[in-house]
Amino acid sequence: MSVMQKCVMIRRTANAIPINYYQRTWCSTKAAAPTDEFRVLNLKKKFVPPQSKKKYTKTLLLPPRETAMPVDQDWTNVWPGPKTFHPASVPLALRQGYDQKRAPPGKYGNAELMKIPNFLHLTPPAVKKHCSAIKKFCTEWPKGLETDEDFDKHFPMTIITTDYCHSSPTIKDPKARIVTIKVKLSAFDLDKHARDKMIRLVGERYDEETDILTIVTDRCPTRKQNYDYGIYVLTALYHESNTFEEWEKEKQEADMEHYIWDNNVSKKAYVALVEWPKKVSDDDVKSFSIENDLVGQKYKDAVTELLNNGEDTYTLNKYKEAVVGMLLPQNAQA
Amino acid sequence: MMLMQRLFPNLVTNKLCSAKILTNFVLRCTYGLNNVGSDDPGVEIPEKKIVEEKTSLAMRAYLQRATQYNSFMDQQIHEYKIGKRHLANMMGVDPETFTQKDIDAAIGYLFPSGLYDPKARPLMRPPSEVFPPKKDAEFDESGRPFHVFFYTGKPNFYSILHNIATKLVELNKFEDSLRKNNILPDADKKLTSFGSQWLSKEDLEKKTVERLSDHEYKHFVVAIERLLNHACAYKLTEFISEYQKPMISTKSIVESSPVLYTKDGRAYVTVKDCPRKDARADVTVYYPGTGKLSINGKGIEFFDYIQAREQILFPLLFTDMIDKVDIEATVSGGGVSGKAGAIRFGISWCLCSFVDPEVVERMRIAGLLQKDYRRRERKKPGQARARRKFTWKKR
Amino acid sequence: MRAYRRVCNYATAAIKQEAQYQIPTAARTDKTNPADHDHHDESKFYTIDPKTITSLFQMGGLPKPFTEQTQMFAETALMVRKPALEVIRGLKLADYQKPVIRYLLYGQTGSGKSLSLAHILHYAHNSKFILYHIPYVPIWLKYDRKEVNWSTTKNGLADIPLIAAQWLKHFKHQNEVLLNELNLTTSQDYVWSIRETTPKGTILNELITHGINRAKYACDCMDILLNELKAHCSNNKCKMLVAVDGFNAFFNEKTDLKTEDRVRVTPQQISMVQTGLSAVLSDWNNGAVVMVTSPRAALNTKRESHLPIYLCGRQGFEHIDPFIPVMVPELTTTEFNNMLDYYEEKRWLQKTGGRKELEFLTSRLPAELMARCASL
Repeated sequence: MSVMQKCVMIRRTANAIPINYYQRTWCSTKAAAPTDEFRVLNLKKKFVPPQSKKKYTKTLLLPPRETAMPVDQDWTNVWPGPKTFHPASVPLALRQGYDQKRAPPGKYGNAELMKIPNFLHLTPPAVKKHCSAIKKFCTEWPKGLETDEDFDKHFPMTIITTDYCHSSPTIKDPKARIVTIKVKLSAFDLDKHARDKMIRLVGERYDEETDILTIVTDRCPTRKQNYDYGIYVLTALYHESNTFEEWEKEKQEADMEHYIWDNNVSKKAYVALVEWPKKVSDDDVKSFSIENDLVGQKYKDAVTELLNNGEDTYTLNKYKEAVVGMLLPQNAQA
Repeated sequence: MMLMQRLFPNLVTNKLCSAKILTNFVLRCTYGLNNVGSDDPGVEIPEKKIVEEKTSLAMRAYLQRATQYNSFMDQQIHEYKIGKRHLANMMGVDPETFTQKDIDAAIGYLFPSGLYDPKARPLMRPPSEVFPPKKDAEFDESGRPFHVFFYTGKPNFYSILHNIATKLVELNKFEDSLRKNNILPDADKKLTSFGSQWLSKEDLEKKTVERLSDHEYKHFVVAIERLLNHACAYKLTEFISEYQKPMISTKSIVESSPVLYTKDGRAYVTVKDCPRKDARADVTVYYPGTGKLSINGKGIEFFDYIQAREQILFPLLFTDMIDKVDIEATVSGGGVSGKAGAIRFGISWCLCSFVDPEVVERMRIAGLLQKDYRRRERKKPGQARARRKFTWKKR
Repeated sequence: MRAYRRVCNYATAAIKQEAQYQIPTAARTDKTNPADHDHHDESKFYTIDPKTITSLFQMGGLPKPFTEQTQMFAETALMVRKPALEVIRGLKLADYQKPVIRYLLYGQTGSGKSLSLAHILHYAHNSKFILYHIPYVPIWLKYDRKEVNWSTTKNGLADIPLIAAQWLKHFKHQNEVLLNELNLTTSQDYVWSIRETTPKGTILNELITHGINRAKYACDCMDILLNELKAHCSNNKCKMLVAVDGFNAFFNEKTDLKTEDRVRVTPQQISMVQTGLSAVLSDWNNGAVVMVTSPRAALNTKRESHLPIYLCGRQGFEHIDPFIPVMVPELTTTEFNNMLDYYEEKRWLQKTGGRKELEFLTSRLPAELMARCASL
């Protein structure tokens, strides 16, 4: 019937119709063109063609890359940079893992192999390539710098600074401002007094065994400032040690770095011994000379060596000989 | 694939033949029985239509497993060989001269694992070393076994016993023939089991690829001993040596440091890093000497403790070299007893080079040459000390 | 250990079976007067008769392990060794008109310094020297004694009256007879308090007795005694030997002594120490000074080396400079063997053998050897 035909709704696709229109046509059973006839209620089920389930099409996996790799390929092109282990790209029959009863598992699906930081990007041919690429930027090692002594001669000063890298939001580290300057004291031309004064001024910063003076500066906020300050300190030290101050004349016997016999009690004892039984005063001691006195010379040398070079069997024996020569009469000396 | 031919001698590739396919012998997948292989679906073997044969399901399954295993192993070997070539190429080395040692070194370089156990680290080995051996198919598709002794359940083992018995009979015949001609078997050539022992049960199991019981192993030992003790057993040394394992001579374990010479011509030996507890010592012994001792620059006064002094005296006294050598030692770390033990160890090892081998053997038996591995045991929670428990109170 | 002992015993047993074991006799010398000892007697034992021992060493001077040994063996046998002979020779040949010569015996702990000093003391006693002998300085300075008083006469110094009195007893015991013979007297009046004076001309023995009785003045008494003796020696009336064992204790950094007001005193603050130090000065003649430095007399922390200047310090060195340092070494092989022969002669060691082991273990120090052979 024409009415029935007209009233049968044909669902049209949403694309063709503007949206409000679509809704209206979907919801109502009214025909598109209004007629004067009655609406007819359709109770029959609409034929809905069965929706077939989405077919699971197995994704076609290509064979792994390793099966198609030629044996004489350039590996550096395959693995140019550091990368986590990828079993399909590495043509090796690797196994890793220990199970008491089974063989070690293969590389496919092996998490342990992925955990290892691999060096497939740094095989010997790759390293050679890197080196040859950098080589054109390299210059020859300068002549005249073959041995360590040459280094010390031409570059006596060593400056040590440290850079820090972080994985946190800040990349700056306050420790990066610390500057260490190491110099060998033999590089400066200091005379005896200057060297002694320098060592006294720096105190613990000087290492006697290696003859290295170490200055560590961290009082300024930036590295450059610290470096400048360190150089300034070094310059000041050098000039100060070369100057001789008036108050240095008041150096006492206890401050002496070397033992000098003439200024010491030992000479007084010797003089007292020689002048016995006369009492001896300080002036007598000062004026007493041992120019012609072999025994006294020997004694002086022995005591100086004993106290300057430290005490051991050799210096003690020397001292003993000198004193025996002094104290015991000739016939007693064996 | 050879095995395939063996299995199916009646293979007929007949596309037109529409014979009923009873069997599902399509060898498509190459998965190993251990389920560890490449999931490489690429290898496809064309379906072969087979003539109908009477085989039971169990047999079919068994044969399938066996063939699967064989093809799996073949594939593994193929992969290994290719992988070896790839690795040689990667390292820029000639593949022809690439040995297993080189492989191990290369893998160690490329995959530096920090794991403690060497067995857990990455490796690339020939599959024969990686997978435990498995038997081939023991019977064909009709169920007829290949090995004569198949129905014993352990054909390889029983064939060994059978061989021993056969050989024994042979030897008896031989001995009889000798005696007929009034020749006695040569007494000098009689074999002894000196210096070697029989394969252990584990070794025999590995050799036969069969599980053995203790009872069976005992049988084996009895049988082969009987063979060995036969007067004419020298004729079968080769056969018997297959089942013997030489005992390791412990003398060869003792390797001494090289003997060097000072400018004056005195011989001396230095042993570095001698350990005992936490102490480490470097000891130098000069051979023609007078009995001088210097430890960190001091004499024996370095140790106040008598026991420490006696420890150092012990190796010298044992080898009677107290006044014949000079000793110089530097020691650090640990405590008094540790230092003394470390120096003693160093002196013993140095003296090995200056005494006879018998004395070295006696020193080894005395325990002078052994590193004392004992360390302080840690205190455990819930106990007062390492072993001492808290006082047990009933209430 | 058991295995090696078994092996060693087999070896030594085998040797013994070959030769008959004969009890050895230690090499001895018959000269009982040290003045007669010379280099022929080196490494030989000489005995001292008990009377001399009591007169000289009753209140100290011989090390304790040694006295126990003498009690055991019922004789005091000292070995004649080179260092003692050297010093004795020096004492014999010195010019006594010149200021006193100072000797210093030094060596490792247990090398025989105290016994060498005992030998020298014996010689001095026989040669009519007055003995100013301080047996072992740390005895004065070590133990936390109750009686330490600030001195009234000497400003800033502390007294240890009881110890001083004890020392005066020791001095008297050693020198009573000689002092009686020499008849030395005081040169001036000494006023102790309002009621007590020692007038000029009193015999020194009486002065000493006074000091012993009145412990309060014992330290001052010591000092006065020393000055008197020095003066007498300088006037050629007598000879004196000053012997100090543990000399480096005078220069320790601290002592264990505390005064009543809980103040720790240093050795330099003790009057007896100052007396001792003035005794070793060479401002007098007709005598000799023998000092012994030992690492045992130093503090626990400062025992790294046995050399004298390390132990005495710079100050100590300057105090006694110039002196003759005499090293007391370990026993030589002959001396070592002789000592073991002596033990075997006395049947203290029942079997011979093991000498190489002992040499190694004791590094030939006599005290160590004595300790090793001692009873448990």
